[in-house]
Amino acid sequence: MTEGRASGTPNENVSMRHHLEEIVSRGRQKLRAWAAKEALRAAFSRLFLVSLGVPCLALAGNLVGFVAPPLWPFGDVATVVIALAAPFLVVAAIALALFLREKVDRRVCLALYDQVLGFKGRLQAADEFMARESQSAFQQAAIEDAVPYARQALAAQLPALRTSPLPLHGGRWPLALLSVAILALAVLIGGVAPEVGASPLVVPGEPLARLSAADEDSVEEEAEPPRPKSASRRTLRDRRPASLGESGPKDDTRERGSRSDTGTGDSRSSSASENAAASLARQAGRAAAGASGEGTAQMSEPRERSDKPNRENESNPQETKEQRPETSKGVAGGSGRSTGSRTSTSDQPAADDKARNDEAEGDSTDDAEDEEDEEQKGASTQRPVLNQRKAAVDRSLSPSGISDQENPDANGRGGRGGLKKTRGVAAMLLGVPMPDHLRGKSNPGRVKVQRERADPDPKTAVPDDATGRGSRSKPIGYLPHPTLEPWMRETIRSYFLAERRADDASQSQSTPSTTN
Amino acid sequence: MSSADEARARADEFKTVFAKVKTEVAKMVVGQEQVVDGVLTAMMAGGHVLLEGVPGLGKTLLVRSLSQAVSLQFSRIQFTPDMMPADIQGTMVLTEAEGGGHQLTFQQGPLIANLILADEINRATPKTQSALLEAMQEKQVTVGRRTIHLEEPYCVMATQNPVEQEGTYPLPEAQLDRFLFKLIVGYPAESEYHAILDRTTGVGDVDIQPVTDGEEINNLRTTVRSVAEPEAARAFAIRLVMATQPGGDSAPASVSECASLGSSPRGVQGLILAGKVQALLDDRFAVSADDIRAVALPVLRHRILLNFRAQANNVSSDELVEDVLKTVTPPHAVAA
Repeated sequence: MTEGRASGTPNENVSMRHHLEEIVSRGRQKLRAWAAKEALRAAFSRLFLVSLGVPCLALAGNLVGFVAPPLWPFGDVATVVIALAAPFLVVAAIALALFLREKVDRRVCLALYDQVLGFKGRLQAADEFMARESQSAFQQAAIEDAVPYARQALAAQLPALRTSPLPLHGGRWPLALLSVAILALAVLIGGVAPEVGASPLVVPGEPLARLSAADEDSVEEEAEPPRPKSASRRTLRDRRPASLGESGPKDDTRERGSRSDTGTGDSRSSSASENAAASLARQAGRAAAGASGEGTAQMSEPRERSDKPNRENESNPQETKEQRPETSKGVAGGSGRSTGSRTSTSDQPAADDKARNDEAEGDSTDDAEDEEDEEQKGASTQRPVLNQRKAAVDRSLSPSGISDQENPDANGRGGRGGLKKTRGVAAMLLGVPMPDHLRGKSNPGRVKVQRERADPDPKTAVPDDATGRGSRSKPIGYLPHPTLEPWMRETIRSYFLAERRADDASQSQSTPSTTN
Repeated sequence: MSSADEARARADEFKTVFAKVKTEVAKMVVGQEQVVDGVLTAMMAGGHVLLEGVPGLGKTLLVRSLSQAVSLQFSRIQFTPDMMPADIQGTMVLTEAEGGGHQLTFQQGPLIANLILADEINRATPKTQSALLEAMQEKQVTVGRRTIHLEEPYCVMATQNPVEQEGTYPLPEAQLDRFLFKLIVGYPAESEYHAILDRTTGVGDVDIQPVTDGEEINNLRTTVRSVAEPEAARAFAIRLVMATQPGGDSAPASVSECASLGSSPRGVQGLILAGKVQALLDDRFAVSADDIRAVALPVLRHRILLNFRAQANNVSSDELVEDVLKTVTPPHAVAA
């Protein structure tokens, strides 16, 4: 056998190389087209997931708008357009990346023809052997053997490569529905959040004096009827007097009677800035009078809220005049002032001082108080202020005041009585007294063991004579083989199968509980 | 004559001899074409064969017919539980010398031949079975200080019965790994029963003529080894063998669950050698992945050791090999 000779004649080799190159070129075209389809399919399988991106971003941006300037800068229509267009752009980018990443190897092209036309690797083998410097006899024979198959491959038209169908099965549609729902939610919130977030009143540290007329105009424009948020705000405001009237008109009359006997109605026409300044001055006076810290903190929040109605009153005096009689009826109940007077018994002198200061402020501040009360009452209808009605918990650090008397200010914390209402480590101790021992039966006492010395007492046994076992009179019979019988093996097998089934069943039952 | 023509001539010779031997064997053995092809493939590839089947299917007859057709020194060993290694390897015996004295001479065992029929091999103890290890792999027998090199072609064809396992000793893994093929002999088809009755119940006697000899078989073995092996076929065989090893990266889940031992590198050698025979029989000069796939089952089925889970679930090694063949794809294959 001749080894290491070049295969065939040079012309045959050149012809075969040309054939193989042509096959590789055609196969590469075919495979790239197929790879493009597969890349598109693979990218399209992510479409529903990608479609969640824009709605989620829009929702998050609009949600941020409740506490800060909104991060989602687009309007409703633009959001919908972006949400529809962006997934397709992303899918196209992914498909392009997948397609560019796909490299079509020369051997794959030849393997494609071998595989589809059933050449059993002849083209691949010939291409590999031709690349070697020297071939063995069988390698040369393999190359020559592949020549007719290469011609056949060039003449053949490869069928279209099978591509996977687009992944549109039912499992992915919930993602699409979810993205639509999130988009709708983002659009709805986007109609509400930017107004609240854009309001300069909620920006911390913004001074009242810096509110310009332009800002007020813009606020007024945002409050026009076509905007859903403004409608909701107006609806809330319109509802407010009714609820207030139900809650405490009597308190209102009592408070007003006791607070301002001098009574004025003219000062209601004073400017909004004067009202705001008076409100601030009054609250500062309350704080100086030693009102409880909790009450002060609650007062500061209505102060911020009181600015917006003032501006609205300025810009729309007719509406204000129409609403004023109703609001003045229902203002007093549950105001911050009355809360401050009920904080604790220790705060009673401070509350008296505060009442005196209020009387001294005169009529000029009375209207401002009405407005503030209105806003505070509005706030109280929106959210419960239960902690205003509860006294502060006694958090004295010393546990020395141990007594079984009930603390009316315990507020449900610290257990009954005055035990251990402390902070720190002492607060972690059990506040409810518990017995430190269990009643039980006393032990029987010390066990006494006494040993006595004694001599062994031998006893005589009756001897028994050995007897012969005798000869066997009949055959032993069947002696079972030490190996297991087939039915025994089957029994063991069925037993272990049953055990395994039981284990699998227990595992399948225990899996959801572990995930929960 | 170019080297390619020379290769072509050798391939033709191989096919001719293969067909002749097959024809002669077919005079005696009815049907069982795959088993006959497998036995001849293993013999041409230089491997050993383990035939497994219930009694009466012609396993012993097949090997005996083959020995007559190839004109090789044939030896049959009927394995029994009380057989000792010396019974098959040979031992020193005391013989009478011509001069009247006595002398120790080495009496060769039946293992020293060209074609060995190890009948009911699993009835002998592992000690006796182990006596075959050196002969099958090293092609030599060592008794005491004497080492006897066995003459090529050397081929062990063992039979075993899958039922009646009482009183038998399953072959150890080292022994099983030395067999190139494990062939399952099944029941014949209905039409084949007629031919069996014609040949065995009449008065006529079937005469098998030797069509080749040991030297020619050695040449054919060289031809088989000369078949070219492309990188793709070699990589595919390696992947197949690695996929039978439980816990491997390419092993399918069924193999990892049900197999406790996978194929050794002997499996790759067997796949390539048997694949080369397949390529020659298919008029090709290079082995392909299809050839590897065709011989994967008989080459790999006895190299996978099943664990208790597989035995309890009645999972056979054939099913695992099928799983491996489904999982492993040839290199550069297009999933289209």
